[in-house]
Amino acid sequence: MAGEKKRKAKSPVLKRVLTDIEQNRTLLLFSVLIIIVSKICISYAPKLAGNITDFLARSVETGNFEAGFMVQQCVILLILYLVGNGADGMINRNMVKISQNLILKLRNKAQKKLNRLTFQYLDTHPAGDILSRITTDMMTLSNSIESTVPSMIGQFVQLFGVVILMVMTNPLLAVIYLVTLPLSFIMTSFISKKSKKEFKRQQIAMGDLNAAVLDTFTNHMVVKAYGCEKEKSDLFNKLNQEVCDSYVKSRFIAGFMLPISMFASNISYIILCVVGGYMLVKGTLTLGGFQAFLIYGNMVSSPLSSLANSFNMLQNGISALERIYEFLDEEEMAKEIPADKIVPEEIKGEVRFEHVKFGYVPEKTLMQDVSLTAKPGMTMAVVGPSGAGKTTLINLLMRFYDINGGRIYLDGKNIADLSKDNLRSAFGMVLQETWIFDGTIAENIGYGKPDATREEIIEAAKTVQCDSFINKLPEGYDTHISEENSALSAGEKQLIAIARVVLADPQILILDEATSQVDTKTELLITQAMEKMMENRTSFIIAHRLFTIRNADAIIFMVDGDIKEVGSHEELLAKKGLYASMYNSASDTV
Amino acid sequence: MISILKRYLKKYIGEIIGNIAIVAAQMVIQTFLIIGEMQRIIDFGVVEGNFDYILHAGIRMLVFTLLAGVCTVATSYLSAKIVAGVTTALRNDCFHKVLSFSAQEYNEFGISTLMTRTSADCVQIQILLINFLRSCLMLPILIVCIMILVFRVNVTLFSVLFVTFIFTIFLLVYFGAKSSDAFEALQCKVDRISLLVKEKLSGVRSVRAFRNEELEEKKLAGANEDAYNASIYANSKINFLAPLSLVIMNWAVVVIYFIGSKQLQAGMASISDLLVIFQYLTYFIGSLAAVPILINMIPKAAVSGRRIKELLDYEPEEKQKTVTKYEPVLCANGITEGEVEFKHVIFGYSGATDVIADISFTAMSGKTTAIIGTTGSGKTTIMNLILRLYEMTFGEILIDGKSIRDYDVDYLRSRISYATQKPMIFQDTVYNNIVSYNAACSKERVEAACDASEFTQVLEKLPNGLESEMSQGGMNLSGGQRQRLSLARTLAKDAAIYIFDDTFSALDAKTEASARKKIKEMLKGKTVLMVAQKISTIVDADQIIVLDRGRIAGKGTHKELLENCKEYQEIYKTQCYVEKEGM
Repeated sequence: MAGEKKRKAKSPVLKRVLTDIEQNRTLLLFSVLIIIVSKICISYAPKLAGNITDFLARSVETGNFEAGFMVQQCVILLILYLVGNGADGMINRNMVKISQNLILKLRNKAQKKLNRLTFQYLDTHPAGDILSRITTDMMTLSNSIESTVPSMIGQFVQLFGVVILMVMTNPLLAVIYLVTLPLSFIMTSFISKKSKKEFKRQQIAMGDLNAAVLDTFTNHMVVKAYGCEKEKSDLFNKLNQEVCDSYVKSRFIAGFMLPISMFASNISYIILCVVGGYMLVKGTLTLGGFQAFLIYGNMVSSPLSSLANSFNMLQNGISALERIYEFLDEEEMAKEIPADKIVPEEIKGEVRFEHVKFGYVPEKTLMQDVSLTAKPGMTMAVVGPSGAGKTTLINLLMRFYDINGGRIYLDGKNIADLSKDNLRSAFGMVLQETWIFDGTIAENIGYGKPDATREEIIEAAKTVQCDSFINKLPEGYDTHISEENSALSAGEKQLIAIARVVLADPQILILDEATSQVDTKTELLITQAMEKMMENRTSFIIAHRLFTIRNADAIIFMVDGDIKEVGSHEELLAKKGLYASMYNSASDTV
Repeated sequence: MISILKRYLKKYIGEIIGNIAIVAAQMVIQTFLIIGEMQRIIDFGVVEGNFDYILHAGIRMLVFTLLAGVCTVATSYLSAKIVAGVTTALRNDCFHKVLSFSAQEYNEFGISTLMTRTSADCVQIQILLINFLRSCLMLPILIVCIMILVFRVNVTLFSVLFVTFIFTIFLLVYFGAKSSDAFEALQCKVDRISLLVKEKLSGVRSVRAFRNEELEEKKLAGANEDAYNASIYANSKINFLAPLSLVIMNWAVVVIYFIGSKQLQAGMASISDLLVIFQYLTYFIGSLAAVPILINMIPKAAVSGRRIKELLDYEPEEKQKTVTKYEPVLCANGITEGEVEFKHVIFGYSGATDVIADISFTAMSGKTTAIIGTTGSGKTTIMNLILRLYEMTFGEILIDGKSIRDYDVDYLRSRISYATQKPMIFQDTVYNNIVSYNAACSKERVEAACDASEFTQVLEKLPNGLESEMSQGGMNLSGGQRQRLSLARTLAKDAAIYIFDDTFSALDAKTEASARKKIKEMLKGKTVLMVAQKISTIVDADQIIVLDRGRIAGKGTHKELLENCKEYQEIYKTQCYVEKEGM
């Protein structure tokens, strides 16, 4: 982990994946060995079968039937098939094990990665993209390893073995047959190029359709209320028809692949039959040899036609692997060597910003020079129009982002000298966007303090006034909730998020629009409860509603990343500045 | 799944029969003619030393090959057509079923599962169907062809082959079917991983703020481990199937040799008979390769099929539960004044206690009626009932003296303009979002709406103005900008009744004040219903309704309520309290 500070020099994917399957390398080697042995058996079997046929033909001619030889040959054939085909089972098992071990390892790595990614990355990359790397790409990779890798190795060995045996059986016929082979290869590769384009078109059409469906479903209220059903339905029908047409088209073009390769292999078969028949008459080929050739013909042409397909799948697997590695190589937060330490229980809560400079992107500075001081126990309210940098202030304080210049102190200690974990132990925060995870209500509240007892959880719930509605639910605290769950209203979910923080009992509180979804009456009750908590604790409150912050010790009024005014409500009103004008315009209807 | 497929395949019965016929023709050509020709080469050409016969047979084979190729192309086209038709219809029905859902049903299912059912699940069915039509249909026909051919050649060897075929197919189908539970379990585990990752991504700030990284890691590692075990287990169930069936088929070769040698001795069979039977076997083994792949697909498709069926067969409970049976007299006009009257309206979600109970009030035409109350007191529900997004359980809602159930739903909704609590933005142009696809909306109206909702300032910053494309969920706008766009849409609609469901929450105070002033001006003479959290927002409303836990706690103007409504006084006090504390 330590070495991954900087983006690794991109080592070749295959080399890396070999390192990642370290524990299974012997198993892989062993499996490859089995594949080779089994394919040799499979390749040799038709030759042996041909020998038996020849023996039978001779026996019929001479009338002399030697049962012992026959039994011996048949037993060998049985063993060849048992080893040759039976080994597939073992190979399958091993490959699944190898691929699943790799997937497990990569998934665990990816998920550890999630904890170490910077917010720069997380805030700028769509969650769907990250998600697909951890789910879909992993699926593609495992499919590719489990089915493609062994079959490709097997096909190569088989091709090689069969060609040798064909030449051994009858060199002339072998040469004639092999000359016709590339025919199918050339024809199918032409079609596959064309069909790939169609498949891509189909994928795009499918993507458009899915986007339209999602859009309609998520906005269903508006669709109904504004009578847009017809438009949305028309759009859907149009896109659905497009998907349908492109599907038929791509399938139809791909449909030529099979007949063409079949046609090509049938032509080889015909040549074999005609030339072989000729040789049979001439006596340069035995019936057994002819039989072996007929089977070999199949054994050569089928791997050839599927090799192209396997190669495509392997390509998919490799590009999935590349995407996974790309994700694993994303820049991580620097490894911390904390120069200082805080003890959460002893925090007094003095926060000081000194000439802080910051921008989310280097070329665009949002905060030029921000300085402020929050004395222990003070309630600081941050207000200002959207985009003013209120949340940024919190991002910096929590070290979600690191500052570009200046310093931030907590109790006189530079927060850059503390480990993030240590720093965050002093804070509790409630965010604008309520986060509820899939689990019971008790688990969701208990998230603030993983070792909390049920009593503590209920106590916290009571503090923020959500005990009563939780008890009304049929399963109370054991009610299962999730992000999309409808059992709770938005406001109720927010209360649960607040209860989490109450339970965590932090030294410094941060409320970022924490009560925006809650009605004012409930909000007041919460505020009163929180006020008890906020006594002697430094707290930062971001809110749109002015009345929730009027009793703050200091109001910080921000515009465009800069602090324009600081002071108590009265002071700022008296100043008749920006805050006063905003306050008055908001409350002139009262 | 089967019943779903049956329902949709019915329409394509002709195509399916055609497809089967072509596949059959192809199989007959491949076995009877091409392999048959090979046998004739040996029997007549080789044995009699007749070169001409061999050459002619070769030419015949070439013709048959071309014919077989034509058949394959025809089946691939036909099967693609059937499959595309079925999945398109399936998707279409899913989509329109969901579109017909009320808001309640959306909640019950959840958007993400509705989405999965309409898209990914239909794809699963499609994959299964195409493979079935193209590879699996072939197998029984091939077996029949081979059986007939072998039966004609040699009855004893026929019985050996027959037993082998049946046994192999049984093996594949039986164990394949038995493994489906394991694959379903695997699918669940994989779904769980994606749920957890999604959750973690959306809550990354919370996770880090609570320093629960390790806890999350453990949770995910557990899910990974589960998926690993499930996948090893599921694979162990089918791993041996394909190799085993191959061993059986190939051993049959040896058995045929053995029995064949006895028959050769007795003069009951010829060498060419054996040769041709081996050819059939090789061909059969080749086509068997598709079976394990299909078996792997079945469990996935079965889960998808079940989910689709569940969706398509879903009968909203509420419709059965509605206490009052009502025969509507549909009417597509008549809302002019926009007076809304609630009469003892009750509404409850399925199973739970009533969300609102015995609500009666009248929103006078041309006046503003405000609803205020605590979180979860049923404010949004009341609004949804007027639009019939939810159907009331009991009672009556009248607009201009007529029950809302007497109006054609589309007409009813066309006369109401509704701004949702959470702004909903279409992935389309700003213009389409504002006019909500209503071509009749005039340019002046759009401009006025943008101005009143303070959206004009946002518009100026957008690269292409009204033609700017909104991303999924309007994510390229900030929360406040989305809310203003949503307001603009509400105002652009020409309706008799306007509903604002707490639509100013994401606006800063200055913008809100200005927008409210302009909106008031613009909607003069219209009935306005307004949900609010703050008394300051509604203080000048003509009528205020105080809602407390689903019941009306008071009705009247600000002044009246301050005098005689306890709940209102409380809200007022709390809001003033904060004010005074601050002063």
